[in-house]
Amino acid sequence: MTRIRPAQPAMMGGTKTATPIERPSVLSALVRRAKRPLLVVGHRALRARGNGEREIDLLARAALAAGIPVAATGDAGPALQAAGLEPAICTSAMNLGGLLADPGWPGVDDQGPHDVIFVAGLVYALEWTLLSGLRHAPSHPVTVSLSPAFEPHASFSVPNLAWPAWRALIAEGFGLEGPA
Amino acid sequence: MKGIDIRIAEIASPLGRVRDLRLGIGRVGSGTWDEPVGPTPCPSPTALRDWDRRLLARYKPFYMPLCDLCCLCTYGKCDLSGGKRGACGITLEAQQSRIVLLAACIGAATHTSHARELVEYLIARNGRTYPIDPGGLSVELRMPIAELVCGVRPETLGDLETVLEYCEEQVVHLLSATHTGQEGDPIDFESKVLHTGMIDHTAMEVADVAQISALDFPKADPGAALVELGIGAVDAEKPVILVVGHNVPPAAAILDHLAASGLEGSVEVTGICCTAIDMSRRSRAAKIVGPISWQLRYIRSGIPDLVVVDEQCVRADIFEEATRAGLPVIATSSKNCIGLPDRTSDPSDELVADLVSGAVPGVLVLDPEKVGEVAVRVAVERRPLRPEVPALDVAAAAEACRGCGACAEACPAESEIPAAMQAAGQGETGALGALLASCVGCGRCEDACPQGIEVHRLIAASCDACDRFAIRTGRGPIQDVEIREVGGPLVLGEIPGVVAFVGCANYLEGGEEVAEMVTEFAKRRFVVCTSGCAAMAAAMHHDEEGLTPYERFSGRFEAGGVVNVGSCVSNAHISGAAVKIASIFAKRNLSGNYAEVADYVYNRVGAVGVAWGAMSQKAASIAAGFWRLGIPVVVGPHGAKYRRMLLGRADRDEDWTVRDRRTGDDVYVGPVPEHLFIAAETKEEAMALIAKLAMRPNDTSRGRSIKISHYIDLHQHCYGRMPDDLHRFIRTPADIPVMQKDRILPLLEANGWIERPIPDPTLLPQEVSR
Repeated sequence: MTRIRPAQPAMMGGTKTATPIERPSVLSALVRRAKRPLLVVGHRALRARGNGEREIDLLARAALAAGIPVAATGDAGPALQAAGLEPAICTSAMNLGGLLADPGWPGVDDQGPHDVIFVAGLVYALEWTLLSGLRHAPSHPVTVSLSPAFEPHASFSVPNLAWPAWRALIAEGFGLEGPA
Repeated sequence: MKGIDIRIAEIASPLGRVRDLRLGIGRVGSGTWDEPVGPTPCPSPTALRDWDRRLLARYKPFYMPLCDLCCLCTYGKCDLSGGKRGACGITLEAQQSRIVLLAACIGAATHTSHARELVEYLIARNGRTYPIDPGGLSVELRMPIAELVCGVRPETLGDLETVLEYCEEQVVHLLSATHTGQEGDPIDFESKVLHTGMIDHTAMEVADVAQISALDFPKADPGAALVELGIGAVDAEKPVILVVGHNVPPAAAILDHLAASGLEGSVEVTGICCTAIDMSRRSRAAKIVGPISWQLRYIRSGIPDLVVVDEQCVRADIFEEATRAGLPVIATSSKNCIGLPDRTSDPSDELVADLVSGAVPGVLVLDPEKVGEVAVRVAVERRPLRPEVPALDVAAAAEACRGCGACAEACPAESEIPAAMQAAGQGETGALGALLASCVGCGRCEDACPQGIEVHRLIAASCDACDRFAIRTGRGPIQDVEIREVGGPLVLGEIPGVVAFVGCANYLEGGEEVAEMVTEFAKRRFVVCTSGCAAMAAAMHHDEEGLTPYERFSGRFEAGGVVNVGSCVSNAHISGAAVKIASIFAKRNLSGNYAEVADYVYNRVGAVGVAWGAMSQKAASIAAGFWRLGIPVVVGPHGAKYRRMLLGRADRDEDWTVRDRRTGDDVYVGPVPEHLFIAAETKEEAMALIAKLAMRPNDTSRGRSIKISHYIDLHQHCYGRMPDDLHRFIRTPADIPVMQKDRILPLLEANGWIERPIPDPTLLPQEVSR
C-alpha cells in the first residue's frame, strides 16, 4: 500500500494512519456496505475548482444517488438546497462530532447510530480534529474522508488529489452517471 | 494567604478598655471595606471542585487528540489509541485534559509573571503605597476579580503583591498536577483547567490595574482617544522605533524619554501586539502597526530603524529577521533574552555607539529607563543610515516557482499559493497580493519552499497594505454607573448579550471577519467588547462611509457600544464587568464568594467570548477563566486544535434542569447556554452560535423573544432555514417573537412543545430560599 503524507505533513497523529482510497472500487464498496451512513459536508466544498465547478455540487449528486443523508456544517446548507438536496441536519461540525461520538445518539433520523461517516469540505484542520475525535470515540464509527486532501485520522481517506482526479474518483465511486 | 489581620471590637484589661483594635502583620488589603468574607477566599485547586463538576456534568469534553502518543516521560513514547493506557496508567482522555492544563498553566504563568514584573517595576518607581486607581470616581469596585477570588480589596501597589503571591502559589500547584503519577481523572484535570483560568484572570486584573494606575492610562474612560493604526499611519521620514510584545515599561520609557528630551513628535514609536495597544494608552503619539501576524512584513518593510522586544508573542526568529534587515535589536525581558549579551550595566553612550555603528547587532538591557534613552538615541542616529530597501521584482522572483505545492502544504491558512505564485511569475501579481488578507504571517511557506523563494515577502510586496485606521485605545474597566445602567436590561435579556472579541490573529479568512462580526453585533444592540489583537482586527475595516467600528459606535458599555478594554491583560475587565453586575446590580457579596457569583453570571448574564484567531496558551487560560464563570467561548476553526471542546447535549432534557431559588423545584430551562467551548467553521456559523449562546435561564419573555429573533435571523443567514431547536428555547407563548409567530407555532406543535415556568435559576442547592 502506498504511504501517503497528510495534506499538511506536520499533522501526523500517531501510530495509525488512514487507508488511502486509491481506486473507485474501494469507495464504492464503502458506500455499498454502509448500513447507516451519513455524509458531513462543510463550507470549503463551496470553493470553485478547475473550470468553476464546485465540490459541493458533486457531493450533493453523490449523496442523492447513494441515498445518504447529509449533515451540512458551516454555510454549506443553502448550496446543498440549491443543488436539490435538503440536509438532514444543519449544525456545527463540533456539535455534530459530539453527537456522533456518543453510541447512544439515535442519528439524524432517530433510527439509530450511524456506522459510516463520510466527511468532505471542512477546513483541513477542523476535519482533521473532528476525525481524530471520532477515531477515539466510544461509538467507533468508520470514517471516510472524501476531501481531496489526505486525512490521516480517518479510517479511509481520499489521497491528495488535483480536481480532475478527485472528480473522477468521486463520480465513479458513487456510481454517478453522465458528466461529473 | 500570607499575612494576619486581627480585628477586636472591644477588649478590657487591667490597663483599660480598648475598642476597634486592628492588628495587621504582613500584607493584606487595607481600608474600611467590611463585606463579609465568603466561603472560598483564595481557593485551593479543589475548593471549587464541586462548582466545576456541576458545569462539567453539562459540558462534557469531546476529545480530539492532536497526537495519540504521550512523550512526557522516559517510559514512553506511549501509544494511547484504541483504549490503551500509557505505562503510567494514563488514558488518552486524561492525557488530552492534562495537555490542556499544561497549556493553561503556561498562559496563567505568563500573565502572572507579567503582572509580577509590572508591579515590582511600578513599586520601584512609584512606591509601595502608591494608590491603585483604575477608574477615578467612576469605579468604586476597582478589582472585582481579586475581591471575588481572594476576598481582598487592594488599595495600593503593595497590596497587589499579596494577590500575586496567591496566584504564583496556585500556578505551581496546578502545574505540579500535570506531573506523571498525579491526576489521572480527566474531569479532575478539567476542574484544574478552570481553576487555572480563574487564577489567570486574577493576575491579568492585577497587571492592568497596576499599569492603569501608575502609568496614567485612560481610567474607565468611554471616550478614550482614537489613535492611529496601520503601516500607513507611520511617518517613515522620521526615525522609527518598533516595539514588539506585551509588557509596556520599556515602551513607556521610550515615550517618556522623548517627552523629557523635547523630541516628542520627531520620532515615531510604533508597536506590534499588545505593547502597541498599551503604549497608545500612555500616549496618543504612539502608533499601532498591527497584530502579532504583522511582524515579518513590517520588519522587512524598511521602515523601522530599531527593534525593541519585550515578552510574549514575539517571533523566536525576530533577531535573525531584524539582523537580515540591518536593524539593531534591544531585548528588554528576562524571559526573552534572544541570545544577546546582557549590557544592562554598561553606560548608555557605549550602547548607543555600539548599536549605531553596528559593532554589535543587539543587546539585552533589563532596565526600562535605560532602554528608553538608548532606543531613542539609536533611532535618531540610525535614521540617516537607514538602508534603502530595493524594490522587489516579484515576477522575476516568482518565476523560480516550480509549482510543487510545498508552500501550500505548510500554510495554516490553506492559501492557494502555488497558482498565485505561478501567475505572478507571468506578471499577474494580483492573486498573490490578495493572499495577504488571510496570511497569518508565520513564514512557514518560505521554510518549505525548495527553491528558496521568499514567499511571504513576495505576497507582502504584491499588496499595498499601507492603509491607516482609527482604533479607540484601551479604556480599562467598565464604570460602576455603566453597570447600573445596563445591569437590569442585560440580566433580563432585553439587551441581548455581551459579546467579547478577544485573542490572537490566527484567522483562517483574515481579520476582516472580526470587524464584520463586531459591526453586526453592535448593530444588533449587543454590548460589544474587544481586546488585544482582536481589537486591532476590529479596527482594520472601513465601512461605506470610511469609518471604522470605533468611529461608528460609541465606546460606552451600552447596547450598541464597541468597547476596547485594552491589551490581553485587560480581558479581566470583561469578566470583571460580569462580576460587577452580580455585585452592583444584584447586590451579591463578592468577597471570597466565587461559586455563588459564578452561578449568578452563568444563569443570568448573557455574555459570550469569541476568540476568532485564538493561537496561544494565554488564549487557553483566558478562555478557561471565562468558562469557570459560566461564560461560553467560541473560537475559530484553528481553535479545534486546543484538543477538546466542552459541549452540551441539547437533546438530553435531564441535563438542563436548574433549581428554582424561590421554591426549590427542579425546572427544565432548555440548553442555555448550550456549549461552553466550541469551534465554529465560518463567521456566519459563529454568529448564529453567539446569538444562541447568549440565552440564559433568567431571561424574561421579552428578553428571550429578542434573543430568539436574533438567533433565527443569524441561523437562517448561515444555514438557509429555520432552527430546528426553537422548542427548547421557548418557555411560554410570550417568548415567541411576534413577527415569527406563524412560522414558529407549527414547529412547536411538531415537537410536542409544552409551556413551562421561568424559574429564579440556580445550580447551587444552598441558594434555594435565600
